[in-house]
Amino acid sequence: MSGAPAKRSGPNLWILVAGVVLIAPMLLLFNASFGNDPRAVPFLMEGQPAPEFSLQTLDGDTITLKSLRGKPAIINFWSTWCGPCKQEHPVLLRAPQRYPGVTFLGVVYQDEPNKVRSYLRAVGGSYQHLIDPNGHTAVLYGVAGVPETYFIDANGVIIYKQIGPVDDRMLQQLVTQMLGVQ
Amino acid sequence: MKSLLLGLLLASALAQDPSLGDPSLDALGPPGPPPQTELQLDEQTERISKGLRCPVCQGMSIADSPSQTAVTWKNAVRDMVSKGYSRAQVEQFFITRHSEWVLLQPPAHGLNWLLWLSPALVLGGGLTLAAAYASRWRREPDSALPSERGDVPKDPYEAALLAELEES
Repeated sequence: MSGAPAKRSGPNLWILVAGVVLIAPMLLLFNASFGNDPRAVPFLMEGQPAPEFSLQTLDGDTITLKSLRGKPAIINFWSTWCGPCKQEHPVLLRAPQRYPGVTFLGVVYQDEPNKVRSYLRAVGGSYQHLIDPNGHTAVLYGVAGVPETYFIDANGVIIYKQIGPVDDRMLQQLVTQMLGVQ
Repeated sequence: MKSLLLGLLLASALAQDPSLGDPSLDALGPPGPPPQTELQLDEQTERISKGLRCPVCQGMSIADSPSQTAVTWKNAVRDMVSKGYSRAQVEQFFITRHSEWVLLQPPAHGLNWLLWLSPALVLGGGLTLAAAYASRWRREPDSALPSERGDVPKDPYEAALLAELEES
């Protein structure tokens, strides 16, 4: 009645290969993305010349990036409505005295000059703050939120952008690096 | 006449804004002719803004987000469009700052092809597998007992039953 047992089909190799071919690239993509902060906004301008700007200070003077050449500069985009900006303010307040070889500038981001003046009167200010009326300079610099701080060497090249508040240690490291480049 | 007036107004607005003459815009190449009417400017701005990712939102375009950053970016788009920059040039401006991450729809090149093709590949693969299984089921009607196919050893009771059936 029953002859030799029919040969049972083993694991289907081609299905396995097809599955691997389909799934492997997706796993590679997932793997490349694991560990990345999904809220982080990529920034590609490090190592590139900082965009030129011409902005007015709170006192009405005009400052251009060109006028800062020959000396490293630290440009901090901030606003009075931003909590982390207030957190880093004391660090930046004492920085110009600690690093006289560096120009410190603040660029006010989406804020009203009067509010900024009142705030600085209350907490103190040790360097110039520029008004960016329509936010174009912030867009040119690739600002995606505040606070963001740009470290620009004496040749006008962005060497680093700090997203979030700066601290004393970071400032010291980066200023040393910038003065070395000079 | 109306378009001439609009052109003059736009030119005057640009002349008053000191932050718009940045050389980094020169890297985008020469701009084309600017939109002739306010409506064209609005439509083109909206179309481009719909494709740019809001940096402080989750999966939202700057056209749809009410956040201050999105509004600032959208104003920058409008400014560039008013100067005659094309969609590709505006996108390039943002890509050079924030990579292709800034585009809500990844362009079809390089590894991005995987994103575009994977749904079709998975669907095609699934259909092929389903078709392969269906044709095998048609070829091998499963009427035989497992023991007859040799998949399992014959049970003694089954053997006795089959013997009795054959005798009768």
